[in-house]
Amino acid sequence: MLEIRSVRKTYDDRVVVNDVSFEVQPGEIFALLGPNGAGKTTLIRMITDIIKPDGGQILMNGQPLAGSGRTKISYLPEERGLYRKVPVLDALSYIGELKDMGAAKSRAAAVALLEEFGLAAWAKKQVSALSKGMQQKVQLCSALIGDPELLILDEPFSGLDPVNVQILEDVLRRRRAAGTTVILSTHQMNKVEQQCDRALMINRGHMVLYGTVRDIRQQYAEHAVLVEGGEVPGGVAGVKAMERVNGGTKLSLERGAAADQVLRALLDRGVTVKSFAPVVPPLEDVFVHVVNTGAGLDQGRSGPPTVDEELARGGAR
Amino acid sequence: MKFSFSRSMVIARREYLTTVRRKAFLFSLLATPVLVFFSTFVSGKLAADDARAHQREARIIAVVDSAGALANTNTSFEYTPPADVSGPGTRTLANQNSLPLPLPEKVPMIMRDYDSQQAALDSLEAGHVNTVVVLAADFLTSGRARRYEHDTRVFTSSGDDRPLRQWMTRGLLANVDSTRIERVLTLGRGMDLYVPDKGGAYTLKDDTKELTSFFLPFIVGMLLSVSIITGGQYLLQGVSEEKETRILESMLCTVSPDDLVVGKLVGLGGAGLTLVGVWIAAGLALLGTSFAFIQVELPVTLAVVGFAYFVLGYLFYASLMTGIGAVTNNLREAQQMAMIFTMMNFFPFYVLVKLLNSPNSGIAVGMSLFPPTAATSMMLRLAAASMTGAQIPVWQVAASLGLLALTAFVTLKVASKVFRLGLLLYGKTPTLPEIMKLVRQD
Repeated sequence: MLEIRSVRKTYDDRVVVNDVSFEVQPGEIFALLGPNGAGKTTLIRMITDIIKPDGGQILMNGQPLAGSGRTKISYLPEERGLYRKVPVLDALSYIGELKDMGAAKSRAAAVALLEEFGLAAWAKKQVSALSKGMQQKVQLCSALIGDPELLILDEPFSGLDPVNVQILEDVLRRRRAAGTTVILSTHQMNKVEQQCDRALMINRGHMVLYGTVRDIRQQYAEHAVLVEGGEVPGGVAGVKAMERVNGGTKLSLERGAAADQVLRALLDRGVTVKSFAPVVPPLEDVFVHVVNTGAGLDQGRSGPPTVDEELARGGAR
Repeated sequence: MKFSFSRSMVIARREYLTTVRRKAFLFSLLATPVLVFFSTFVSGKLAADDARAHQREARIIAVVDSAGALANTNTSFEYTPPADVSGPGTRTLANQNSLPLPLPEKVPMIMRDYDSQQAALDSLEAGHVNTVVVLAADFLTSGRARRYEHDTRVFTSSGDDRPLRQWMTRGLLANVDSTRIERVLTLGRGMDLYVPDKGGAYTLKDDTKELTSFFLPFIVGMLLSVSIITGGQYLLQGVSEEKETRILESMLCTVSPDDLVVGKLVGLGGAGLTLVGVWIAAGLALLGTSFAFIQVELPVTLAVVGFAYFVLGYLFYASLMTGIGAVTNNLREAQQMAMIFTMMNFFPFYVLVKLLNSPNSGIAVGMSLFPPTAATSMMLRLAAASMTGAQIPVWQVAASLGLLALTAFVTLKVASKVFRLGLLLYGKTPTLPEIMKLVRQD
């Protein structure tokens, strides 16, 4: 659906986005991650054609953005606002009309969205009369009106209470089921783990992580397993260290030792095994690790560091 | 994204309706003509009425005649005020033959001789006399005299001494026959001035039409300036507010900057035009009969050229305002930066008399060709010329419109770019070199 090919943007000789390439597949929720100032907003602004890249290509359904493809993209920026002195319904209908929906159709779509977000009773109130959370939901409605093919949401959960977070998550699931592609830029890594299929992380303008959320976490998995069940005796073949964690035992494996061999050894030693799983770090840990170590920045290429690179850096787990 | 006419019209409609429904718009629509009416007609009439009433007050004047120049003068006389203080006796082409002049009023004046200035001033303080006049001993050769009064009104140092002057003239010419005295007193009245009209025939110089020939270009120029600046101010305000409330970044994903800029220009220009259009319509409805009465005609070409100047002048100023609104952080900053351009638009009014009296002078031609002042200057010149018969060369109009169109086009293109980039800039307002660098980098 969306192809970014070697996109680059420079301001005042400062490279803000450096040779970034990735694809977003139809119907997926794709996470765009990175620390503050990494270049995410610049990248999004290039995707939405608000600013032009200095180099590279951005294709939507195989066509350059300047074509009609851009009308199918909707964007909810992190810093967002609404026309305050107009009724909620009018504010939304106006956005719909700008998306070439026509007056009657926009109004109907706005009414439907307000119902979906539980805001129907506020349709005729001025936007300024709404609470911050409600305004946030109206802003989400403005991004959703017109059934965009690609929805780009920058920190959509900020300012929402847990109930409204749940409503938004449900809306996103329904949209994905209906075929909408979503790019989600957020610092809430738990939401990425729950919602997103794949992710891209940029740091200082460079791609540093790219792939499925599961693979990214796996890449940074320790060479260790977590065992729940009976007491693990010492001297199990392939285990170099043991540590009690959260009601289980974390076994750090020797280099070259395979997890299935260790499992077999445990069973052979008569250990009761209720659960046996590789130790995969949460995405938040991966994020912090990559940012703190500058992983992937100095290779002059995109993609995550290899295990050997990590070892050479002395940061392997 | 390419420019979309339909989207820009959706924006234009919204901008127009939102603006004209605002209370501030309605307030401007109603309050401005009321203010103008009060500040010109009502205050003018009040001042004239006040002056007329003052002249019609009977007076007792204390005279300290150290020179003995007025020794044989009557101690009372009836003063006849002139009929020229906005009164019904004003002579115009329209009324010179048809309206009968009213009978002159007579105002009694009583003179009291005093031996000393102090005694006269004491009487003034005691309220026994209205005025004290003291003639110096060498009055006949030097003309030195002083007047004492309790007059708290402003700008009346010389206007209200006519009764006194009339009495003194009669006194000084005591031995001259009364017909000659009357002629001296009314010298100038009835000496009508005839000047060539557009066809070259000598006709009576018409004061009212003269006044109209000054005010009409002034009003035409002022309306043009106001409509241009009003639309521009709406744009400045709109863009500033949208930037401040951070609405436009998500909008720019849906519509192109060109859609937004064109939609805003059309919608808010329409609002400015509506404002001025309603004023003109109301003015014509109220004063139309008066204009017909004094035979004022505005040529159709003036209206057509005026519309062209409005469109181009507005395009130029509104583009500037768009750019300023986009690069500044809030409305206050934007208005400060826009002030210089707003003043430039009104600059032709600072040299109004020169433009109207010498519409082909170097400064008039120069200002008509200089884009920021072109619209107002040329409209003032054209309107003045249509009233006085002066000729404005066609090439100057064409060159002025052409230069303005070119400048407006370039400004619009740059503003559109600055608009897109400026809306994403927050924090420090960029300097002009920084803006140019940004535009080049994009």
